[in-house]
Amino acid sequence: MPLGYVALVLHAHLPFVRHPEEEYSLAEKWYHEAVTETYIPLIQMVHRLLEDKVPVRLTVSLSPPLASMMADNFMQKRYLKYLERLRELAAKEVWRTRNDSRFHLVARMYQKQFEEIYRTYSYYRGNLITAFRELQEEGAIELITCAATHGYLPLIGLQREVVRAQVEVAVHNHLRLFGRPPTGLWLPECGYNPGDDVILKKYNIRYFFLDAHGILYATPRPRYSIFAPVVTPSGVAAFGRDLESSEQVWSAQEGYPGDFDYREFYRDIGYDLDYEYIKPYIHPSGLRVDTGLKYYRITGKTEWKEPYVPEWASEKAKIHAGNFLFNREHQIKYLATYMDRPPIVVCPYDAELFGHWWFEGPQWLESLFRQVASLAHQPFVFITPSDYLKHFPVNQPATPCMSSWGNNGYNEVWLDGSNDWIYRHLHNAAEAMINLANRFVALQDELIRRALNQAARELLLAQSSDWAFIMKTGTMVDYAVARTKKHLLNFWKLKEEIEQRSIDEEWLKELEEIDNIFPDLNYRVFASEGI
Amino acid sequence: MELVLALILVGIVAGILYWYFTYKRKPAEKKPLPVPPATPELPPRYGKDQIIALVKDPYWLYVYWEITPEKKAEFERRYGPGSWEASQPVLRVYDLTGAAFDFLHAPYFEIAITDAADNWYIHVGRPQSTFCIDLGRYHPHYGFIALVRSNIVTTPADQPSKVIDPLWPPLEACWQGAGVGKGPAPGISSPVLLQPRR
Repeated sequence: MPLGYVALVLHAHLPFVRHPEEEYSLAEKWYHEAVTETYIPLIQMVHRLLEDKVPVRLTVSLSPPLASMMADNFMQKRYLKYLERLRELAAKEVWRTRNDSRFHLVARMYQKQFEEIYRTYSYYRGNLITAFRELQEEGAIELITCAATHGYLPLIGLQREVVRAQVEVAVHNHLRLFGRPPTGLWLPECGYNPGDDVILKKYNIRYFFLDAHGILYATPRPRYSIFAPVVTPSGVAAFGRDLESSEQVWSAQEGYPGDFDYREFYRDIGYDLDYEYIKPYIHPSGLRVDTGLKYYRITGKTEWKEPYVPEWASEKAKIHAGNFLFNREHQIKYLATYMDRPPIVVCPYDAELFGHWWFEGPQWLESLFRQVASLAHQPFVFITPSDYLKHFPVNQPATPCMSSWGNNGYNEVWLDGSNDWIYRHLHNAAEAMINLANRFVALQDELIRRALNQAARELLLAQSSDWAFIMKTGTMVDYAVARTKKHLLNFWKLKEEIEQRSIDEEWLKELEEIDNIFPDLNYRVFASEGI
Repeated sequence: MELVLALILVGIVAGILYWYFTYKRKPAEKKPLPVPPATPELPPRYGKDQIIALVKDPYWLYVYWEITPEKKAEFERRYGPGSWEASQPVLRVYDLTGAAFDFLHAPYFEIAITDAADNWYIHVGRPQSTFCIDLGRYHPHYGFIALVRSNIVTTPADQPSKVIDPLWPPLEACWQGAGVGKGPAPGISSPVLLQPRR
């Protein structure tokens, strides 16, 4: 038996930002950037490890909105267009910097990276679902799901039916896309409300994750604190996030990503280069935006930035992986001396941290797996929660504490002066949806059934935690407000048409095409039956 | 003759000036700015008498409410014309910890609010406690009159539990290594992708 375990968990999520009605969408750009910088590099990294027979075990939560976008034909084509522009820009940059020794190598690095991304993307014919599915079959990653539209359950879950719908739709969507029911579920923002686990249990979810204090403040007090899961009254296991390893990776100041040799996120050629030159690659209105080509390193706590040196950064990523390994090894060694079972250290991160914010993150991750594999003495073993539960099926019963991994650990990020107004509308709409689902049981009319399904989709989309989060953080607030209103207004209009039994079919069809998340959704997920 | 000429000249100059100021100074055909289609607003009211409580953190609750004109009319019928204006809106916060639904004996406190408000943050200051809130009005003669009652909510803990399971006694070493006492991890949060540009 190994001395201890480390569970690396990457939570990949973006809100549903599909905008076929727009020629260019800043929101869609989030998706394009994350695919280029995080999701594909992650896939490539696992492939390299598998090729070299390096044992890799990673838990990846793909949120249903993200997975739905990956599976969507329109999004796939849009991304390809984006990637082609990016390749074009990179080629131009290689030429432009041909006599500039400071930046030429960096430009070539980007070109190489984008060409490889293009190759991977083409190999999967634009469908990244296939790629993740393959890695799951290989046993390298364990795919889990999240709530249907990443709804923040402690606040939208006023009605149990809403929590049930968010879970059921997610589980169903996961099975449809990945061919297996999910074993675990990432609670959006780790937002937990005691009792929600009962619903998870119903859908055969075996585990979820909480921030450390969710476990530390559980009742009764957990024997192993966060170094073993507790099992909730309903029988679902809850794993707690390890603070020490979180901070090392997350913190921009004390953590690895702030190292001076790493790439500076805030210096992008979209802002730096001559307007006429860069114009075709920024917003069509002329608004300067990130292109993804960033040529400087963090350098120091100064405005003055030095050119990026890929080699130095790679070297640092290896050193930091070594440091992480060293720290986990010591942490585990210490814990194992006192514990009567091997400790598990759970390290969950937002997937987008790796590659998008911390450019060298994927290299760090790859190096970590390689370094652990190269050691003769096996300091610890990478594990997924479901493997752990197979080894240790008996865990301490306890009720975790209501918590989240947002600022200050509870609900305040999603409930404050900037966003509290949404809950009145979300709750009332949810109640109306539940009533509709209860009233329309055995439906004959196909059109009404479609309208009911679309109403459920619109409500789910309005419930996404991202809108409240964006309102709170203060950038693109208009977009978040507009999305919240749009989906709710669509919902109320559909409800009215359903009740009057007069559906505007043309409009319904338009909605079905734009907000096409969960194609086989059944509005009855909102019914009160069995709650 | 000269006077006539001068008058004509003055007339012409005045005409030019008049023309200049009325037509030339006006910007050539003001094009109306494209007005974005007005986003329809969400319903301001749902026609329901309700008060809903949400937990913000171990110390704070949030409530929002709606009182319909019908409820107001009913109030006036029962307590007399003008009784609505004569009374003050009040939130009564029951602490039901340990005795759910025992409203008769539960301790409570009240917050005087204003008729302009339709939501409120309530400082309860008590982790792991159960609350229910009545929205009512204080009438000079009739005292507190409840209008609507909220759902029941429980605040989360803000420290490790004192309850120990004898089968699972806590291991000191595990607790030292977990960073307890620091409270929820500061500043390490999610989701990173949507964070604002610096």
